[in-house]
Amino acid sequence: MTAKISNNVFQIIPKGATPLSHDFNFDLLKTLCETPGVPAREEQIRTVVAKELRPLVD
Amino acid sequence: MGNVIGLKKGKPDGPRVMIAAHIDEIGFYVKHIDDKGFLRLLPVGGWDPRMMVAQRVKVTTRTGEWLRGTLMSSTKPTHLLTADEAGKGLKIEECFVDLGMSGERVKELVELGDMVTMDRTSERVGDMVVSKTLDDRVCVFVMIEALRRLRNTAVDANIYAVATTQEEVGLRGATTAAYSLKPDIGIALDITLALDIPGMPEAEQVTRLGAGTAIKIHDSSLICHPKLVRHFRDVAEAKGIKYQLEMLPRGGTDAGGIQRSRGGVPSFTLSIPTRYVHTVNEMAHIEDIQATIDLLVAYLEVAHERKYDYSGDI
Repeated sequence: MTAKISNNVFQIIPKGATPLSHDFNFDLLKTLCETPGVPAREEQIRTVVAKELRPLVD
Repeated sequence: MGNVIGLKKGKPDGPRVMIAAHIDEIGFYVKHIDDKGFLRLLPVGGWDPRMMVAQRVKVTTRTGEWLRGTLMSSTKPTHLLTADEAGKGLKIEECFVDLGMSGERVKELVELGDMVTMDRTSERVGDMVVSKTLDDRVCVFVMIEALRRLRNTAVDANIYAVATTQEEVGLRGATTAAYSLKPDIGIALDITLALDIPGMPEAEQVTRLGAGTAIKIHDSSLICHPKLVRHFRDVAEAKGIKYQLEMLPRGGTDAGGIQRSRGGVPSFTLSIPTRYVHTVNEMAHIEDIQATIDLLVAYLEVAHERKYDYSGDI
């Protein structure tokens, strides 16, 4: 199912799931959750987080 | 310790606010490779063996390559089990990873100390997100999204966003980060138990999905500073943000490490209610996640307005 959430922005909604607000970045959450990183082996998730944080801080 | 630290500058005399969300997850290290290529595991973090087996896993090799495998136990198929055998509990020592390759090939690719993690995708189910490792990546997400919302907003507080390491083995990254950063206020973002499931009495549910973000009062790593609890409650009520109070009998967060840094730091935890914690099916309500972002942003805008000492009324 596809829902229009604003002009030119559409969302593919999995069957049985409710639509997300347009600013909920599910793709980022998915990337964060699916990247491995046990204690002391956080190198891959650290790279993902650093890339996201860098433009948001001084 | 490998923490990722970002600073959003506030006013020079503004408070130093440390936000901590941990990036490590519970998992395993390879501790033995046998001649047939089966891997034995050393668990890191709090695993319940009943929730471990018959799962897909990823082995991350020294080159960063992912190998897919199955996490199984040394047990007969159900068809062949006696009643006694079927009722027996499972021990982690009985579990192994099968990579579907020869012993020689496995030994070429894998070495002791390589990490093993659960292999599950993140999905939207109804009003929820279901995923491995919502603990605590959903809170890393909250921290990032809160900073995104504040990107063009000047705030008085100096905000240290810290993606911490090694929380699951004893709050280690947050403890050392707090020592270095000398925060005036410590805020951990973490998931908490939502036991609103069949079989759990209401008094033991801790939190419920869909009832809002959780303002923690107590867990076994810290008792949140009462004035911080009050401030978060006041902000939530002023902004109309849905929240619930949390009393967690056991378990802890990075705030416990921050609180005991140097001479002590007023500390607090903002939680996201989560079902099925430390399984591959951790479940959180999207509106609770959103409420957590909303409350964190609203608090950071006014964090400078109160002092968190131990004088006067709460």
